[in-house]
Amino acid sequence: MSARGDPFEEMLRRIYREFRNIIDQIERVYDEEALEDVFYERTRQYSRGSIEPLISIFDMGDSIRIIIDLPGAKESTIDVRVYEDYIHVTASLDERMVKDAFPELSWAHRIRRFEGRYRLPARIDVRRITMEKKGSRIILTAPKI
Amino acid sequence: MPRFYEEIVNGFLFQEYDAPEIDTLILGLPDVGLVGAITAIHLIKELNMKDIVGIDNYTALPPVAVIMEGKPKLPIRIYAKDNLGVLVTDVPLAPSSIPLFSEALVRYAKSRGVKTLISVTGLGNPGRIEIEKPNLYLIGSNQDNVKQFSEKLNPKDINQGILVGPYAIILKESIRLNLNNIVLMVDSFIDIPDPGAAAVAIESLNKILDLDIDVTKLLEEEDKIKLRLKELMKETKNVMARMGKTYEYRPTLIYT
Repeated sequence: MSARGDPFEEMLRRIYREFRNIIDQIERVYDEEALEDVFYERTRQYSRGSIEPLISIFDMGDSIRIIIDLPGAKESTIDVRVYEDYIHVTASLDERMVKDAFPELSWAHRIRRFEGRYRLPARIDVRRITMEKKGSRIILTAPKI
Repeated sequence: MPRFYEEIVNGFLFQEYDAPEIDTLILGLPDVGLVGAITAIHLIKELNMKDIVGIDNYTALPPVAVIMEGKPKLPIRIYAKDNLGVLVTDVPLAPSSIPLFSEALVRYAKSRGVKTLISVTGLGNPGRIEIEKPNLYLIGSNQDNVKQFSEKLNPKDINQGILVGPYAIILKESIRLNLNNIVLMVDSFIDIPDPGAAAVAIESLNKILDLDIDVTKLLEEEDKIKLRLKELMKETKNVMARMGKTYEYRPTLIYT
């Protein structure tokens, strides 16, 4: 009997096709690379007891505006270092705020600080930077070089 | 074991733990500034709503079971109290699952006698940091309904633009199936959770649905909420980029 006519082989091929189809669909759910990045980034940060602040960067034409959100940060510990093409942010987190935000996650209670390093879309003049604070947000505006 | 009724629409499983008798369903899907999600969470807490429908799709959604108060739940859930329902999801919808989910949701709502779907979302505004009280915008599937709600809310005009994401499909499908769909949009930070914008959305819902939900606690707990939702915002930003959200930030082809 040829393989083409073998009913068991045909059945196996069909099962394999169905299985492949399901795997393809699962893989499409999220971009694999993006998920991998998120996984490694989160585990790396949590193991160091830190989380990365959310940041918005806007290109305003002649200048760059950067909004850094630091909810729960202790104000006196906020440290923002600005370089020509990147910024580095650190701040200690209020322990009570962390426990309030994640009451059910005991592992999260070990998170102690914000830390993030961000590449800027253009080089900026660090000597002419302005900074203001609104609630938990820090707003930096700097002219491009 | 809990008993439930199941229905599958477009491959999405709708598992009912209680017979839904919902007139108005508020949709709090993760989107710009997580405005819809924050609004939904606050409503569920303040109204002490109970989850009565779970939604899942084993291939179109990540393989997750959400544990709440020790009990396993499906990732997308509808909470209800009296005739008001609120939909939330613990995982952002992947771009590939948005069309089928959005269509399934409208069909399911229609089949259960829902009269109005209210989509709540942020309208990403790069100048949001300078705005003390964010503006409200309103569009909908039924212009009579839009007019009626506009009289109560006095929204800012939005004559042209492009809406991208699940709310776009829900709006188009609602028009097809003759279901009322109102889209409430509030000026918002794009990729930072925005409880201030959610507060404006809730105040608007108070007016159109005769509710009396206090937003003081939401604003007082702003930092705690933002810290808790930070990672969901990151995931959502990733999804927004891949579903073509960038179209919202360019003009339409034809202008008036």
